[in-house]
Amino acid sequence: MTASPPDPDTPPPTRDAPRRLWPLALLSALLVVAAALLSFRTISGNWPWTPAGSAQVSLGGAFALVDGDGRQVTDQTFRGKWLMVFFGYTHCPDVCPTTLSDIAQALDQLGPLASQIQPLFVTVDPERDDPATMRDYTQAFGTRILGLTGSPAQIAAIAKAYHVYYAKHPEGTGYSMDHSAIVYVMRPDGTPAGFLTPDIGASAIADKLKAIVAKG
Amino acid sequence: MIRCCRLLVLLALVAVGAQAADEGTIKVEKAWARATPPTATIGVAYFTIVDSGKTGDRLIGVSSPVAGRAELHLNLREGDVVQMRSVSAVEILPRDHIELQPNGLHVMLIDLRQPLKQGDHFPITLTFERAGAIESEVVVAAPGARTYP
Repeated sequence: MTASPPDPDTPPPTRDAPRRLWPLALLSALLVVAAALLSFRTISGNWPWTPAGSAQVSLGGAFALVDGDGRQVTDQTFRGKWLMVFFGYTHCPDVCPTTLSDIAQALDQLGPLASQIQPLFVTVDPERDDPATMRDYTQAFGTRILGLTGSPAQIAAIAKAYHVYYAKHPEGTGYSMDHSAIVYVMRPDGTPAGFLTPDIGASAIADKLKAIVAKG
Repeated sequence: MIRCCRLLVLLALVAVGAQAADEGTIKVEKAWARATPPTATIGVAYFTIVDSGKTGDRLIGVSSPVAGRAELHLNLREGDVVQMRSVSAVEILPRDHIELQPNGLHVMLIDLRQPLKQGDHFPITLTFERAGAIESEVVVAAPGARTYP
């Protein structure tokens, strides 16, 4: 756009115009602040987790994976159990063992309630994490946690269903995986019930699980 | 003549002593690793560095005979996403106390030559820019251990 010379037929802007605009500017600012406050409240609150039967955001759903013995499992395999669904990979020496250890300890603290909860550790690195590798890895932390893998397409499908980000990060001749580190808690009917971040430690995880299960 | 030589020897000893005190200011303590599954090719180790000197140093390398190579890594969290990134050096300030622990800075042991079994011990060598190579012994703790056993 090029500047054009002023048109002699158009009257110049009056000095009154800027003064009349300030109430509108103030109203706009108030609306922006109100919108920001409202959105902050919903993000930090329970959204998108809602009472049973009325999920607002689609999370979870059908998946097909392979367990440590090479058997096919789907979301239907686990109906009737509360699920803890979380993602990682076995070439992760620090965070993933810490997470698995904390979850195993949290379940140990729950007593009989633990038998109603099935933790699922899903790999985001199906290229390196075959069924036997997943089984060996999770069994180092006891028998509760089930390690699942699958084809790249199957992993991509469950990652999409759980809104999980994952990406390869090349390092020298190998790579690490960047990935979401949220633990999703799902009801026995497959609907989402809550979530937690595993870095809160075993006791806090146990408390959160009790609270989520008690809510139903 | 003899008194002069004695004085020179004394001065030389003091100078050597001072030099030795400067070089021995870095200590590597409480080195530990987590036990690995039998088929694992990677492991993790942690340790504490204590520098009681006045000049500081930099940790620039790690190695161990149990692994093909060892690298320093740091866990970062960006929102909900965790990332592991390699670290080329760790700055050590004068009178510093740096403790490597889970969910932070750690040593990744890559291409393990043998699984790490709980209760085992193995050597690790840390290379510092000024202090040179310092060897320490690593004790293997449980797979989910959070601190030095």
